[in-house]
Amino acid sequence: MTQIVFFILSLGTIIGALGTILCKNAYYSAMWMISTFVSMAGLFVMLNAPFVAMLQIIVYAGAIAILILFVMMLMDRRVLNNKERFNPQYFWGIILGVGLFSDLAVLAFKFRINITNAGKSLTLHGSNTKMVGDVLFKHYLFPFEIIAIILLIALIGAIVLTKKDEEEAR
Amino acid sequence: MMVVIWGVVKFIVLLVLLSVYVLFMTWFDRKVIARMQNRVGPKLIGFHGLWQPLADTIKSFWKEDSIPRGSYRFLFWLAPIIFTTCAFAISFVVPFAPPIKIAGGVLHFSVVNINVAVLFVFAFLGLASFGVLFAGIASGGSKYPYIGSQREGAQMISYEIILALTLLNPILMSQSLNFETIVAAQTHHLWYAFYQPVAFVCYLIAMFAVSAKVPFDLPEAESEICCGYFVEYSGMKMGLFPFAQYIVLLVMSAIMVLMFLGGWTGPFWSGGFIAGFIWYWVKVAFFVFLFTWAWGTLPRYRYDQLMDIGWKILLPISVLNIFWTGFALSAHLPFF
Repeated sequence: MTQIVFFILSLGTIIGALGTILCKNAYYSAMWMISTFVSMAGLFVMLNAPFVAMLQIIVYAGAIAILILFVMMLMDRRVLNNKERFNPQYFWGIILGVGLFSDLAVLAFKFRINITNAGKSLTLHGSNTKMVGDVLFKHYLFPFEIIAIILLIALIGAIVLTKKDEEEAR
Repeated sequence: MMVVIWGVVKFIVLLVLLSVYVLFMTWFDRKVIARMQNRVGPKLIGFHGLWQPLADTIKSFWKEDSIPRGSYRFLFWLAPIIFTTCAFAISFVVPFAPPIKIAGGVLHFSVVNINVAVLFVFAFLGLASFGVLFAGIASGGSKYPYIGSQREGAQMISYEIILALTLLNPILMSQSLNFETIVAAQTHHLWYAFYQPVAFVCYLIAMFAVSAKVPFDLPEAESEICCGYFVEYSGMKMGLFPFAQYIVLLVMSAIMVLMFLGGWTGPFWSGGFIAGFIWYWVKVAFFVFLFTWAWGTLPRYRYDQLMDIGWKILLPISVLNIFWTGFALSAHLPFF
């Protein structure tokens, strides 16, 4: 039962990812991307990590995908639909993708991954939302705060770079 | 296996009950607003027009279904489906009655009783707004749906932040993300609305914005952009949008009652299933009525005013409120 659910979800993830890069229409690409995020959230739920799953949907599908769609809506849709699907450097992307895939395939073959364990959570048991908070705010508090400050700097930098002064704009 | 069967049974019951609720909610809205405007409202079909929504539904099923020529057909079909599905999904984690202890354990009155229920609500609220966004995009460059769905996207992003920040206060105080645990935590103290009046008011404002109702119904402002994101829709596909909106409205009211007003506890005559049930639904019905009341009385805000309220007033206030809650909890102030 868990295996079937696992394969459905992973199939959804892969089809969504393929749809994202192969669709001619940018809006359909966005739709496929959201379906990828939601399927990945399903995989997280199967790994007994409901907190991560919910954050996956809230942050990626809820916030980032909406922002991407929003930017696409502000563009002219004739420009958007006449764009080339791949840029001239797609060759390097293919090499990298094939290399990564064969790497993972070799690893899976060498370690003899047991396919009957597909979809089973072997390390985590039960709800661990509280544990995430404990680990994040007790053991790793300092790195956590550093990351927060770095993100804040990036945010302010983006505002400074894009905002023009009143006089410059005239 | 029993869990799955129970889940399916609860799911079907909830589906039927919510559909019936939406049907009669349209009647209720029309009747209340008619009274506020010194009219009679629907009265011809059935007792005080009670069967009017049924007649409307039958009518909209047989309406001609027109799809604009330049539209993205698949997205055009998908948009109302996404919106309705996600609205129903939100209602799955909300308990609609106090839990009962039975022989085998505890009977919960939500379809699934999960530990991350509050996060689940946020996740599917975000996904539901894709229905509106896709509706605007798929309408084939028609400008009013386009503007309407852009407004919905911006409104959803800004007000979901405020919703999350205000709900963080009850979560911090009860140290749980499960609605039933949060209600149980409020039985030991006063209701959280008394500890967190600021968060309560901020949530009340954000609730109207998230469910896109008057005074913040900018995505579908009739007088400006003539119905916003579902202008191009017709028949039952058009009907699905208000349908999902009524469900979101009910769920938002229910969350308000669960998080801030003690759920099924009352100041007197509490304890027992029937008392809890009545207390809970009286409170929820009040907030559902509040939406209709606002619809009948308040004017619509301008779009820049909406954004100013969200980012310049509510966001700083709710962030400061979280600091205060954290300080009060860690310093063990009296009453906390």
